[in-house]
Amino acid sequence: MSSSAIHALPGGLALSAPMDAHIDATIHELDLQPSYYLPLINYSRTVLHPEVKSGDCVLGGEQLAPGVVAPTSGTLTEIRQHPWPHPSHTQVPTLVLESDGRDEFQQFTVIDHTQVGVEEILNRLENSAIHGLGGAAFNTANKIRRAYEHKNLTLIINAVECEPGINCDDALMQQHPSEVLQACNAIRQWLRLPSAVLAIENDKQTAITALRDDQTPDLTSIKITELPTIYPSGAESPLVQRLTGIKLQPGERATDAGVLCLNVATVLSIHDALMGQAAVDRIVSISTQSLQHSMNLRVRFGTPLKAVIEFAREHNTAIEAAWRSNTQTIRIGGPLSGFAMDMLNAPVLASTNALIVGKEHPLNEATACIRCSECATVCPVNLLPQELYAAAASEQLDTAARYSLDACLLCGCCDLVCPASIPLTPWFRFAKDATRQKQQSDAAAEVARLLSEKHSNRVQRRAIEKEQQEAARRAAAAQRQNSAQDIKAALTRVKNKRPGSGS
Amino acid sequence: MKPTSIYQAWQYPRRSTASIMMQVMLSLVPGTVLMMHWLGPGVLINWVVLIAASVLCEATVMRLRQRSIKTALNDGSIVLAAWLLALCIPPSLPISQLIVGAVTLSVLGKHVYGGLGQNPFNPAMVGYAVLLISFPKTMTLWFDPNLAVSWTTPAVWADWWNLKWFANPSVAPWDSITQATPLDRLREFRNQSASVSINSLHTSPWRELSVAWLMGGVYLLARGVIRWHIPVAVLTAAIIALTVQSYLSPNTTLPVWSAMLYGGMVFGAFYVATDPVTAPSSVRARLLYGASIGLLSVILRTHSNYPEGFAFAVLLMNASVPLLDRWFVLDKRS
Ligand code: SF4
Ligand code: SF4
Repeated sequence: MSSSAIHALPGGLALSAPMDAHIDATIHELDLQPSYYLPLINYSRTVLHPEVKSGDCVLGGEQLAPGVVAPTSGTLTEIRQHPWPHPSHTQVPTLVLESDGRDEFQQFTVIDHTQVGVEEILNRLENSAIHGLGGAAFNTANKIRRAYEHKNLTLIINAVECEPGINCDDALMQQHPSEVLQACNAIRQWLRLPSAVLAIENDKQTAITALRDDQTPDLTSIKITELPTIYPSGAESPLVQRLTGIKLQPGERATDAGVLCLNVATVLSIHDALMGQAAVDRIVSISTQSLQHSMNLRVRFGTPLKAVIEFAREHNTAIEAAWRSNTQTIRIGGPLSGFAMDMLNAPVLASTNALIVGKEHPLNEATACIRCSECATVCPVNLLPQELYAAAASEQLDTAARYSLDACLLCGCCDLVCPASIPLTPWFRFAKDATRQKQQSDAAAEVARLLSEKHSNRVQRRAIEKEQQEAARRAAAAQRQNSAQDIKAALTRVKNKRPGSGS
Repeated sequence: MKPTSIYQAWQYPRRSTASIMMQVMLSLVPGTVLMMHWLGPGVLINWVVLIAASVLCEATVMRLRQRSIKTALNDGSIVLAAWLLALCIPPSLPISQLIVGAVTLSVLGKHVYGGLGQNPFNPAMVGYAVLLISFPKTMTLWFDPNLAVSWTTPAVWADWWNLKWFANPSVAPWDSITQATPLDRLREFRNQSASVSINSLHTSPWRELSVAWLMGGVYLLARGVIRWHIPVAVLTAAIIALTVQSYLSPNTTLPVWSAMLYGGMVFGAFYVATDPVTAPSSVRARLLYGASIGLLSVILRTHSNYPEGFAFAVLLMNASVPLLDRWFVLDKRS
C-alpha cells in the first residue's frame, strides 16, 4: 500500500460506546466446564461428519470432525440435537464432550515458519481448526490459501472492532500488546511480505498506546493505522475500501482482490497453533444492555452460554442487575449486528464475539416503508435495503439475490435509521439463511435426481459417451505430452551439441 | 425464523415516520397562520374540513380493508396530505367540494394503490388535480385579500357560511370583489399580448407566503427531515427556465424573482416534490426528478389552460419515478 490515506466509506454510522462506559479490559478465565457442546455444522450450514464415535476418549486439540477440535480432554458421550448460537433458533446434531477434569492436550510439534513452506503451515491451521474470530468464522486456512495465490498481496490485521459493546480485541491488545505484534510479524514473515497494516479505530487509545510502546524496532514493519470511528469499518469489504480504496463488487471477496484481512485475535490463534498449542478458546465480551458495563472472558469453544453468563453475573454487579431485569433472552453479537437468543444451553463458538444481557428496548411496530431511502444512504456497501426488504419479505429470493443480498454485511445500519422501524437486517439474515438452505436442498435434489436417473438408458448413454470423450481427450493429452517431451528432448540435444555457447 | 418485530438492544435516536410528519407540519404552521390571517376565515374552514374529512375517510377505508385504524392515523401522513391540499385551494371553495377533495385524496390518492408507501402519486396533488378539473370555476376564484379579511365582523362570518355551504359564490353579496391571483392576471396579459406591470398584479400576500414556505423548508433541511437535492433542483431549473423565457419574450413575463415568488413554486419545491413516497430513491434520480418538475411547471404555467402548473408537473414526474429508479439504481445493481 503506497499511501496511508484513509478512504471514505459510502455509508456507515459514527457510533461509539457511551462516554462513561466501564469497560473491564482484564481477561477473566472461565473454569473448566463439565460438558462441552460442539455442533456438527458450520456457519454456512454444511453438515460436518464426525471422525469419532460416542464413547471415544479424546485429548484436547484432537480433531473430532473437519473444523472441530476437542476443547479439553474427556469422553464423547453422545451425538444429539442441541441448540446452536444461530439466529434460526434451531437445533443441530451436536457432539457432547464430557470433560474428565484432567485437561490434557495432544502434543503437537512446533512449526518453525522460517524453515517450512506455507503449505505445511496451512495444513497445521487446517488441523487445528482455526476459524476467524472476528464474527464471520471463516476457515482461516482456506482464506489464506485463496489470498496466497495473489502476487501483490496486502495483509491487513483487523483490530478495528467498530461495534460498541464488543471489546474483546481491545482487551486482548491492551493485555498482550507484544504477543499481538510478534504474531502479526510472524505471519507477515511467512507470507513473505515486506509490511502489514494493523488497523484500529482511534477511540481505542489505551490499546494503541500499549501497542506503540511495545513496538520494538524489529516490529516496525507492522504499521499501526488509526481509523476514525465509522461503523462498520471492521467488516471486511468496508475495511478494504477504507484502507486501500478498492471497492469490492457484490460477491467478491477481499482475497480475490489480493487483500488478506485477518482478525487480530485470529492472528494470535494462528501463532498458537504453529507453536504447537491448540487454539480452543476465544475472548467473549459481555455487556449490559445499556453498554455502560462490559467485561471480557476467555471461553473455550463449546461452553454453554449459561456458564458464561453465570460467571459474568458473579463477577460484575451491573451485569447481575441487568440480568435480573431480563426476560431470559440475551443477545449474541453486538447491539446492531447481533440477534436475540433464548436457548442458553447453546454453546460459544468462534463467531460468538459478544453477549449482551438485559432487557431490550421494544420498538414501535413496523409500519409501511415510506421510500425515504435513509437506509440506502447509510448502507456501507451501497445496497438498496428498501428493495431488498420488499424482496425478502415476500420471499422472492431470486429478486433479493439480484439486489445483491449476498453483499449485505448484516451490519444493522439500515435498521437503525429506518423511520418505519422495519426489521430490515433480521429479514436479510432470514433471507440469507433461506437462500443457503435452498442452495443446499437444490444441490441435494440434484444429487438425488442423478442417482435416480442412474439406471436410465439416457444417462447410461451419456456416461458412455462421456467416457469415450474422456478417453479420447486423455489419449490426445498423452500424445501432446509425448510430442512436447520429444521437442524438449530435441532442444536439449541441440543445446548440448552447441559447444561453449553463452558466457 | 421469520422476523416479526425487532427489539433493539441499544437505543439510538431513531426518527419515526410520525415524527418526520410532525416536523413537516410544524414547519407549515407559520405560513398557514399567515395565510389564514391574510386570506380570511375561509382558509381556516378549508383546513379544518379537509383534515377532518380526510381522517374520517381514511379511518373508514382502513376499517373496510380490515386494517388497524390506529397505525394508519398515527403516522400523520393523511393529516399532512390534507393540510398541504388545504394550502393550495381558494378560501371560497364550497364545503361539498372540499369533501370531494378529501375523499379523492384518501381513496384515489392512497388506498387504491394499497395505502401509504404504495401510492405512486402525491395524494395532495391528486386531490388538487381532480378538484381543478372537476370544479375549474370555483377552484380559480380567489377573493381580494384586502377586502376578505374581516375576522371580527359577524356579517362577514355569515357571508362565509353562506358561501361555503351553498356552494354558489353569487350567494355572497361580494362576488364583485373576487380577484385574480398574480399568475391568473399574467395569463390574461399574455392572452391579450399586453405588457405586464407588476403593480397591477396584487402581489400581496403571495410573495410573503412564499417567503414563509421558504423558511419552513430551510428549517426542514436544517433538521435533516428533507434532503436538499429535490428542492434545489426544482428551484434551480425553474429559475433557469424563467430566465430563458424572460429573454425570449420580455414583455409578457415577470421578472424572474417575482415569477418565482407569486406562484406555488416555492411551496411545491419544499413540500410537494420532496414527498419521499412518490419521489425516486437515488440522489441522481432525485436531481433529475426535481429539475424536470421545475422545468415542466414553468412550461405548463405558460402553455396550459391553467395558471399554475406545479401540480401537473409533479404528477407527471411521479408517473416516471419507476423509470427513473430503474435507470439510476437498478442498472447499477444488476
Ligand atoms: S444490513 Fe445490509 S443492507 Fe443494511 S446497511 Fe448493512 S449492509 Fe446495507
Ligand atoms: S429507511 Fe425504512 S422507510 Fe425509509 S426507505 Fe428504507 S426501509 Fe423504507
